[in-house]
Amino acid sequence: QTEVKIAYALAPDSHYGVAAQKWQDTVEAETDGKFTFRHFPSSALGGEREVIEGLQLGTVEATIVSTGTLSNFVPDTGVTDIPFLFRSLEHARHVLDGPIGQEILAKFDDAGLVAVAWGEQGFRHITNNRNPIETPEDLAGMKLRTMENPVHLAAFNALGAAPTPMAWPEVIGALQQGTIDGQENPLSVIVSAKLNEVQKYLTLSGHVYSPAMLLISKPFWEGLSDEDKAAFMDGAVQGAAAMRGFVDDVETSGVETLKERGMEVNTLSAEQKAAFRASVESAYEEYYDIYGKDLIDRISATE
Amino acid sequence: MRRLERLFVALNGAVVIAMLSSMALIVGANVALRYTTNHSLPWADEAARYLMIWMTFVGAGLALRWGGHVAITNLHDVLSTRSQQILRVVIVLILLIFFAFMVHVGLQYMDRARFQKTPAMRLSFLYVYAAMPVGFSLLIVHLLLIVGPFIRAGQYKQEEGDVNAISGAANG
Amino acid sequence: MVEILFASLFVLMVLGLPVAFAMAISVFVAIGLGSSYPQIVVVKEMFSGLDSFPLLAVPFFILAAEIMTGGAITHTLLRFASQFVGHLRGGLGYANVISSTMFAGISGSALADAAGPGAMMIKMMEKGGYDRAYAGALTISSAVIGPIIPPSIVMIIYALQDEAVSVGSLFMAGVIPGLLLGLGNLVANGVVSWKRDYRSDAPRPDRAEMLRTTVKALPALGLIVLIVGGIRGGIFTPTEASVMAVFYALFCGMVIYRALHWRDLPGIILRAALISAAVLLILGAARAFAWVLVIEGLPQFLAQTIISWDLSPIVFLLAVNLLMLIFGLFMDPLPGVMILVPILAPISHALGIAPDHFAIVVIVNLTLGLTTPPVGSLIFVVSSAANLKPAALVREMPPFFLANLIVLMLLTFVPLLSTWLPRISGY
Ligand code: NA
Ligand code: NA
Repeated sequence: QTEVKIAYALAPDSHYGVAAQKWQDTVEAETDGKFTFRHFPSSALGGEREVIEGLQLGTVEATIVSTGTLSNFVPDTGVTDIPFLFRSLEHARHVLDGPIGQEILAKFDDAGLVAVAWGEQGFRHITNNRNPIETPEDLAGMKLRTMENPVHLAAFNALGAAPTPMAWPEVIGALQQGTIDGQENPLSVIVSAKLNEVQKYLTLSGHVYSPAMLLISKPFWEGLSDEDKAAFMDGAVQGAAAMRGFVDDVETSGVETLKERGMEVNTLSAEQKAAFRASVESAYEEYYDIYGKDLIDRISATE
Repeated sequence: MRRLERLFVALNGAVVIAMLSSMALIVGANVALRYTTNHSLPWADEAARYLMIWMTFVGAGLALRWGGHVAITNLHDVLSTRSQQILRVVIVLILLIFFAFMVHVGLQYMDRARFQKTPAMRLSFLYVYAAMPVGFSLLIVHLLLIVGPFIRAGQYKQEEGDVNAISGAANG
Repeated sequence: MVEILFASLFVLMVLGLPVAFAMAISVFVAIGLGSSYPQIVVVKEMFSGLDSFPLLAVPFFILAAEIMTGGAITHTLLRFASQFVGHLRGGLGYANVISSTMFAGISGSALADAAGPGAMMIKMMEKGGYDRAYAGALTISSAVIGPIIPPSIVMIIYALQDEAVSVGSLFMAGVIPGLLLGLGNLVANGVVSWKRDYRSDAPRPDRAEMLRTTVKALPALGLIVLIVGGIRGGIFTPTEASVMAVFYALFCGMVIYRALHWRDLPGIILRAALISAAVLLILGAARAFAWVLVIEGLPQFLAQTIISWDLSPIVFLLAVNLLMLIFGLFMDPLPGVMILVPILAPISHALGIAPDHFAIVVIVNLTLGLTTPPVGSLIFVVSSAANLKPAALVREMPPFFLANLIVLMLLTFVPLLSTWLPRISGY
């Protein structure tokens, strides 16, 4: 029996945990229990960047990570961070499961990693304590925690907000005490981190689509037989599907939960979103320089 | 030789001072900017963190010299002078092998991270991870410079002041 | 692999290798002899242990305390404390405890407390007719308050190991327990001083003199107000508070006390940087050490085993206390927190123990380990600062250790002492 250590950042009952479990079940069923999985949830083996390095070294066999970290290893992954690029979950899934997504997965080979499938965290939305957000003007000067991600920073600067990169361990306390006004994350994270306890307004802005990725350690992968590889591949695809199912669920039930817990929720209409999209136009020039206008246009053109 | 050593120690110290000072200035400036201009420096967090990592490894050798790494001395205290000296030779040998090995593995790790970039400054991780081989090389040099008095009398720093200058301030 | 890890750590530490190096070497040995993992993982884990923004508060709080001490604050606080209690029987002992408690609001570590004001206090008490060993033991014991009252390095590290607590909430949680420890030490000093008749011939200072000293001490007390108030009021995060503390300390030393000059700064910064380097190196090495335990599944295994025993929360807390007291005989708090918290905190959550209550019990308990032989860094520091044999200090410890232990039990049985302040502060 071979042990497969699988690491991820959130709890076992999160979308990460559900995907990891599905991955395990599928592989176990297809290989007659040749592999035993051991889960390391809740960043037990360190942050996402550290786990990916572990995959490269062969100390961890598999992981599911957000793409924020992955653009350190394969810069093209960052294209998915561009705001208002994806129109809907369906659009995003089509792009990532189609040729564009597969091309990016293939590039991980050069980074010493085997990227097997695209998972998903859902669209990112804004929460804050200052005011409901309906127009870009509502964001003016708002101290908003963002990830340390140049693409996001450029967008929020263009929108007139005051993006504040902050380490996640400090965020809840900073929201609680009012050091910052708000933050942005997928609903799955907003619900599981109970941000309603420290935030009043939720704006379903869907400003950025947040994918995830299922990866396997290359040294481990190279030691697998073709049948085993197929089983791991299939398991990853099933795991990703489970993750997307979870996200579909959260997109509806999560909003209800947060409303019940007392958050004031508003959804941006198509026209309102268009106004935001227009406000980040200046940042797009920057994105064209980094990722190429061609790639960005191809994504927009995908049905 | 003595003058060269003093220069080396002073230089090492100056670098460490510069690192801690810039960390404080960068983080301080970031807070000030948030309140005065409503903008944060996207690279502040990252720069301060990597400076801290560099400070740790570049400062480790000087800390060793000043006796700043806590050790347990119960065994020493019950031994005769002669046995103490033999024990200290053993310690020095273990440390030298360990430091050299860290340089070796640190270089490997550095090489692996060549193509990885930091998120905010887009700096190759090579420059971050270089802190470890550099720091452990410095540890080797500092250990060799104090090895005589250390083995003879168990002393760390010589002539520059109080032997227990920073001893022990480390563990909590 | 775990057996090899602990065995080699034990041998290396007994030989007298610095703790950080002993931990890192034992990980190499364990990986080399007990697994097929590449050695490079040690380097990787050491980096991971340090690559964290909240950790920046460690060097900044150390620097702030160094600048404060460089600015002659120690003297001011000692005089401030002495003027109220100096004339009582056991008065200088009380002054020692009170100034340690106040100094706790400036420094984040017990050892800084003992090495700085502690050393000065021992001299003062000896001149006042106290046994030097008694003064040393009291200094060791009251230094425990240092990391319990904010700022606190060990709390910063704890918050990184358990995401159910934040640095801000722990800082609030520590205030009352810190004051209780102070009270316990005052009582212990009172009892012993009464028995040994440690009289004082210090005159009571007059009102004007008292007012002057009090005014002089206020800026020093301002630091803790800045830290706690700034975090509580949402002006900055704990990490930012630590850097504000640095600038505040500079302002105090240069403008208010005028005891600090530009030419003193390089030396102070260097000291702070080297102390920080030593602390951070231990953290990096402890992270590599803890990695072996995690990869071997020890936390999960222990959690399942202990949860299956179906203990009540209080029995679990008592068991944890006992375990940590034994652990603390041989290990200092920082590596203790790095190794034990990832194992024990999830169990405590599962049992429904309030996270900040559990954190305070762990932190106070492990900090007490600094005062116990055979491995107690506070004993070593005070023994070298006061030129005393460790054994002489240890002989004087029992009444104080008992007082601290009683407070620890109080904190164990009464969660509200730790959780009340964070709750009313909005955590
Ligand atoms: Na403190
Ligand atoms: Na101890």
